[in-house]
Order: sequence, then structure tokens, then C-alpha cells
Amino acid sequence: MTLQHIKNKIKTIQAYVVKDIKLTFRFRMSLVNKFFAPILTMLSFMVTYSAIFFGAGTEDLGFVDSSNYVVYLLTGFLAYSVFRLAWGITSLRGEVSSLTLYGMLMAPGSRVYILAGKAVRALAEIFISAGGFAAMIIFLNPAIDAKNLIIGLGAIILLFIIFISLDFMVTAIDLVNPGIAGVITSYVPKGFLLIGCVYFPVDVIPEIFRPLVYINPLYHAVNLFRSGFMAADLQFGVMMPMIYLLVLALIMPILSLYIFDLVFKKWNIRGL
Amino acid sequence: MIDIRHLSHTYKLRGIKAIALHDISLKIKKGEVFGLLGTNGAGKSTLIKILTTLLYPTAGEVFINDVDIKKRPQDIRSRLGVVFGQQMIYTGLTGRDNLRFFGDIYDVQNLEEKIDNLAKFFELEQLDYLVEGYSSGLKMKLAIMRGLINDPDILFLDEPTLGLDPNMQQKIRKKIKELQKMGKTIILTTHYMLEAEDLCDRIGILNKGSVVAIDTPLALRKKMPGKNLLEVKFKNPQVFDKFRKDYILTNDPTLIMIPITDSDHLNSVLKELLESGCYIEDIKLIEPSLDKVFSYFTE
Repeated sequence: MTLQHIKNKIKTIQAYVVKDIKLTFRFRMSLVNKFFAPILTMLSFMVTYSAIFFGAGTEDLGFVDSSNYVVYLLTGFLAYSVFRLAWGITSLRGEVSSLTLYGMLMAPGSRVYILAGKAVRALAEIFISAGGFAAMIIFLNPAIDAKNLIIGLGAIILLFIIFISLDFMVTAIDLVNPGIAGVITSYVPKGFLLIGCVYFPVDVIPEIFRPLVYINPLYHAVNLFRSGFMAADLQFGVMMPMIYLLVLALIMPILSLYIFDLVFKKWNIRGL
Repeated sequence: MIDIRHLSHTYKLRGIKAIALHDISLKIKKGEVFGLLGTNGAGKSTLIKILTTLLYPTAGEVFINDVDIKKRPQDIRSRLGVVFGQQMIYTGLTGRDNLRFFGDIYDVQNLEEKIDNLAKFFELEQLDYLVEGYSSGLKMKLAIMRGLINDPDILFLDEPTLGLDPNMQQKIRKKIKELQKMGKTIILTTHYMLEAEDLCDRIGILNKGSVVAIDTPLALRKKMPGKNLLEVKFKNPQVFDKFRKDYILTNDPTLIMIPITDSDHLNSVLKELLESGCYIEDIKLIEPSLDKVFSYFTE
């Protein structure tokens, strides 16, 4: 591969990224929605927690108590936003309905480039959402351990890579069978969330289901992230979950691109 | 330039097979404007998708510039341009950004110059405005510009004037003619027969996945036996009473239409008319319109 080939590949990827970024910032209100929608959902949890601590007189729910539940929920939601925004963001449905996908598929370059723009677009949206939440958390809890914060942010970035990779796979399935992809998009995130202990301590999960929680990358990323803000007591320490997330973040993109390419080849998707 | 050999395609929907194309063979010459006509569902779009490498055919072969597009689609894609109506453009981007994106993914050199030249050619001054504010005519112009951004040898135009006002239709047709003069091979699908007649060197009519007729517009008309009509206008309405059984009456009591099968028949009818002693005010031979030709081959 010559230098010119590499330059051409970079230029092509850049074209996809610029296009998707421009489309993202064209519809600014949808970006605002991405920040406010999680806040509205979070409010219902805040009301519930307030009722538990101040109405029912409960002093604490394990690690969570009346003094830290707001930050607890905010950190959970920030992590959840990263995870949630990665879902469906690489979908090519819009490109299918406007037939722009045909234009892309007819271009000589690799079809996997199509995903590059989507991934960067997702990252841009996540920065907006994450920035808002981070500002709120820092405002509520200014005494943050910098080292823990870096570890927490690292965990969030790895989480994003893992779930955007999963989304690539769903996008590929969506091109072949939108019905199955729809079911996956609707229910799988809820499943991850339920066994991710984003809004409640792991102690409330029955013992028999705990292994499911421990293999869920969302659980570890949320906990690591929380440790940056709340000095949370990490069940598995920092090292093990980070290695677990890192391994997944290395394997998943390769696997997802392989599956994406495989689907195109196996179902012979040249167009649709 | 385009050589289609025994091309077939079958869709499978929930286990049920639907034949979209059946054993199509045809050749399209370089620089030709070739019209693909057919009823809805006749297989036009499927054929275009196969020719543009967007769909893999069930059977048969297609060679474009001697390249087997089934085996080496990558080698031919950069030489093709396709326009599906006013689609394939991002309404959330400006016209220029659309062209920049598609130009970049096709690795077009001197892209900005190319974009400006296309804008000049298509007289599109609103290139820096968002496409969502474009009229249908402007969107169509931009869609064709997008299809031309990689300077393709072969341009596929699917319904390029659908939904446009007559003036804009004329402008688009003029540009298509100019593109042909520039040496582009154009494959055009349309439901407007006048458009097909105006633009196409040859026309292929598809019906239920098969090519039922293929020729120049003029030759297709001649392939309709008994479809020529002799229109005869008499001065006196009563004189042609004797023709009532055999000939077609019109709303005008002085006018009749006589179906003509061939030149022998025409001569015998003219002789009969003259011998009848009636006074003929006007007479003309009407060839069938392309609409009628289309109906003849597709019904």
C-alpha cells in the first residue's frame, strides 16, 4: 500500500465524518433533546430516591444515602447516556430511505468507511451530553480525585467503543432484517441497563443473576466512573474491570467490522 | 458498451419467488440514449440496480466496457453515475456539501472546479443553500449533478422529470441532450412517452420482466399492424352512411377514422372513397402515438 493509497483512504473517511458531523449540527434541536431526555428520565428516579430518604425515613441503601444520591444518579445517567447514545446511531435506515446509501455503495471505496462517519457523529453527540452531565456533577461535588476521574473517563470511552461496535452489528442486521434489528434495538439496551445497576446498588439484584451483572461492561464502566466522583468502593478493584473493558474494546470493533463485512458478503448486499 | 446476456433476477419474499427479470438480452451502444419503458413493476428499477452493481443478478451476465460486473464490480463503479429521481441527496446539507461528499468518496480530482463547472452547466445558483429549501426542479438538477460528479461514461436516469412543471421538464431534457452530445451513454426510464420519443435513440419496452420490444421510436410505431388510422373529413355527413359498419365514427358527424393494416389496404380504401362520389374536405394518415405503442406491447 503506497502513501497515496493511505492518503486516499483518509480522505474518504474524512468525507464521511464531515458529512455526518454537518448533518448532526444541522438539526441542533435533536442534540438538545439528547441532553434533556435523560434528565427528564432521571428526575423520576430522583423523586423516588427523595421519597425513600426523606419521606419514608430510610437512612441509606447500602452505598447510596441521602447525601450522595444526586451525584450517584448523575454519574449513572452520564454513563447510561454514553451507552444509550451509542445505540441506533450507526443505523443506515435514513440513508436507505433517501437512497443516499446507493450513492455510497456505488463509490469504489470500502463499505466499512460508511461506519466511520457514524462513529464520529456518535462521539460528538456523546461529548455534548457528557459535557452537560459532567458540569452538573462537578458543580455538586467539586472535590474530585483527578486520578480517579481519568480512570472513570477512560472506562466511559471504552464503554462507548464496546457499544458502538455492538451497534455496527445491529446496523448490518438491520440491512438484512429490519424486524430482528428493531427487536434487538428495543430490548437489548433495556436488558443491559437492568443488569447494569445504573440506578440501584448491585445488592438488590438476586444472587442467582449476579454473574450476568458482572459480565456486563456497563456495570463495570458505571462503577469505575462513579469511583472518580464518589470514591465508590469497587467490588473488583480498578485493575480487573479496566482490563476487562479494554479487552472487550479491542475485540468488539474488529468483530463488528468483520460481521458488518460478512453480512454484506453473505447476503450479497450491493444495494438493497 | 453495455452487453446484457440472458439476465434474470428473482426476488424471494417470505419463501415466495417473484420473477423480476426473465432472460433479458440486449446491447446498448456507446453515446446512445436508451429508453427503458415499462409499466410499474415491469422490472426497470431491478434492471438499473443490476447494471449499476447495486444488485447481484440471479442468472445471466452483464458486461460494461468489457468488464464483467458480476465478477469485478469495483472496476466499473467509478465509470457509472445513477440518478433515482430527486433522491440520493441529503436535504440537511447544502448543494455544495452534497457534491463535495460524493466527489470525495469517488476521489474526484479538482473537485471545487468540477462543482463550479457543473453548477454553471445546470444553471444552479443556489448551490450554497440548504437542499431542503430547493424546489423540485432544483433538487432534480442537483441530483443529476451528483450523478455526474465522477464524470461517468454511463449515466442512469430514473424518472428524471417526474413531478416537474413543463418548463423545468424542458430544461432537464435539454441538458440530457447536451450530455449526450458530450458523449455520455444515457439509460433513461420514464413514464412520459413524449419524453422518451424526444430523447431516446432506441427504446426497450419491458413487460413482466421481459423485453417485449426494442427499436427506435419510429420503428416501434411501424411494428403495430392495423394501428394506423386514416382520418377522413367529409363535407356532407350523409354520404358516408355506407361506411358505418366497417369504420369508426367520431363525435364529429362529418369525420370518420378508418383503421389501415398495410399499404394495399390503404390503396383499396382510397379507391373506394373516390369511387363513392363523396366530397372529401380533408384526409390524413395518423400513426399511432408512442402511448399506443406502449399499451399495445404491455397490455
